[in-house]
Amino acid sequence: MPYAFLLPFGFLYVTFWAIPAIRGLSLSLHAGEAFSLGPFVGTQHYERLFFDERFQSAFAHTALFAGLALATVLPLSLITALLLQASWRRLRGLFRFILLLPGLTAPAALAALLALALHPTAGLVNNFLLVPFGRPEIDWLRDDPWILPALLLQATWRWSGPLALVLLAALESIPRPYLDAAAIAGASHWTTFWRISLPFLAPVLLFGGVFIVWDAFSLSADVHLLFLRGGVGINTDRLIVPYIFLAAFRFLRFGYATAIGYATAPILALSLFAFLRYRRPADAAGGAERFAEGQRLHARRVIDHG
Amino acid sequence: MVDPRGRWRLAAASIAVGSVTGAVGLPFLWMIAASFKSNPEIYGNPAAFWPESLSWGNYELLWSDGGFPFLRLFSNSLAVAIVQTAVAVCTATMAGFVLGRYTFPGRRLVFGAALSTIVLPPPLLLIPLFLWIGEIGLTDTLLGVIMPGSVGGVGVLFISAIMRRLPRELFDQARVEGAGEYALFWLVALPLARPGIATYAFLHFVLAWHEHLLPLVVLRSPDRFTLGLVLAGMAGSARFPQGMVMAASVAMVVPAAVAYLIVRRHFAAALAALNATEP
Repeated sequence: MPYAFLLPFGFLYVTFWAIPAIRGLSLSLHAGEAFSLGPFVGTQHYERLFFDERFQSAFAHTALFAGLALATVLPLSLITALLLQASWRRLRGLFRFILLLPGLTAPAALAALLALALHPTAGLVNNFLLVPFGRPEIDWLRDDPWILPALLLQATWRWSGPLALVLLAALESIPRPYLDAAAIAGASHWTTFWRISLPFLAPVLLFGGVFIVWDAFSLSADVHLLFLRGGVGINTDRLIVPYIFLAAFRFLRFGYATAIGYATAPILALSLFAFLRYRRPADAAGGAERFAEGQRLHARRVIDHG
Repeated sequence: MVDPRGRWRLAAASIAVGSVTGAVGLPFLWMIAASFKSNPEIYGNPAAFWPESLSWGNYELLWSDGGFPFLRLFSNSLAVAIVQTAVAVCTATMAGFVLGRYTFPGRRLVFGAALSTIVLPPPLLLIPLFLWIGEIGLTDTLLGVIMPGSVGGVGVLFISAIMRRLPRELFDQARVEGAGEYALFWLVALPLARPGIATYAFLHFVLAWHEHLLPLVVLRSPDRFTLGLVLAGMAGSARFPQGMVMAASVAMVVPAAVAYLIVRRHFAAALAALNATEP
């Protein structure tokens, strides 16, 4: 019986993921120039990648971007969620809707917006923050050191709001008995947060973290592809996906392009692994009761030690 | 709340959140304002936030079939997003149900399969996907865009987690009363898991609605293009009045916002169910 239910997903999975993935693996092991498979070259592409400066640059930038995004978005969302929880109930619905809006806007729209705001001569940022103070105008989207901050701004704007909402929901679903016990014992806000709320939030934060990393390596590429119209050569050493695009559709080196994607996958696998490993260790061992028991002991300890 | 300290906290928190929300909402507001501006207005005077006069020109441009068949693009995008979401949700719910509540040989395999789609998502799998779509003759078809996106690996994992936490007693009770496995799924599991399923559906819909990489690679004829794709092509380009781009962007938010309003009630319930520690 279970198998009948698995069939539809299984079919889609095999047809539109497994088969392309396996064939792609084979493609990455062949020359793969211009639509033909070409001779078998083994791990040549992967070895080339190792020394490819562009790939190194793209990978490093993407990783850096992911790290910075994590460090910016997670704390910001957490703080916003906490503030939301403490804010006036009547306004909360409005706040939540507005905070969700960036997640609902198309990346393309955001890119257009940023392109306008960061325009060297007509942009808001340059005109309000720099020129009045006598600083020279910055060409945000083209000048080297500023592209990453622009990307970071985009990612923060996009995800901080929605993530805050998710965290808020998690905060509100913390079982009241634990919080009440802590309050009765006279635990301070900070202690309550640190020892009771945070462990409950940990899985959600971890999920948010994995999502941000995932976004950095796949979605944000969409935004970046739009940043420079026609300047494909200039900015493909910033993110992985544009580089895949360049290798495949400009140089027709499909084998190499495939290898790029496959070589990047392990990073996502790693972050995913971290998430699975640490999200609910008690659950993984099959003991939901053990987890609950651990929480009860936790709360007891907080009460005893204040 | 009579406690003065509590009142102060409430006010402070509200103001703080208000500021954050304002900062978040500002670019959006600017987007709306810009959609009413003409091109010279946008570039000419960056200091002016609001347009001199409300010119609906951009929206008119959008509507007239002139250079931008908005209605066509909109319907294409809608078709893609809805079908993709529907298929992903149905397949993921069924698979998630079984994965979360039954043990059977190959369970780990299914788990691994779902995970693999996260590790190697379409953007990284782009080239093999592109070539494969071509080989099975789905290039330049909406189906070619829909199908790869309907592999709901994330959904399977998410829904299986929800299904697993549903109370055993209800299923046992139903079994005692003679319900078969299919009935268990349809009459017990589904209604209980509805909040989570709705949440996932919403997420998937929004991502599909904005999708532009796959359409870029698969579609060729302009009358098959999707909104996300065309918007991506116009954004930041000097060839198109950016005011019109802003107008299109604003219009694009509407379906997503509608989807949110439909699903809003279910969000909190879904997360609470996920976090439930009491059996």
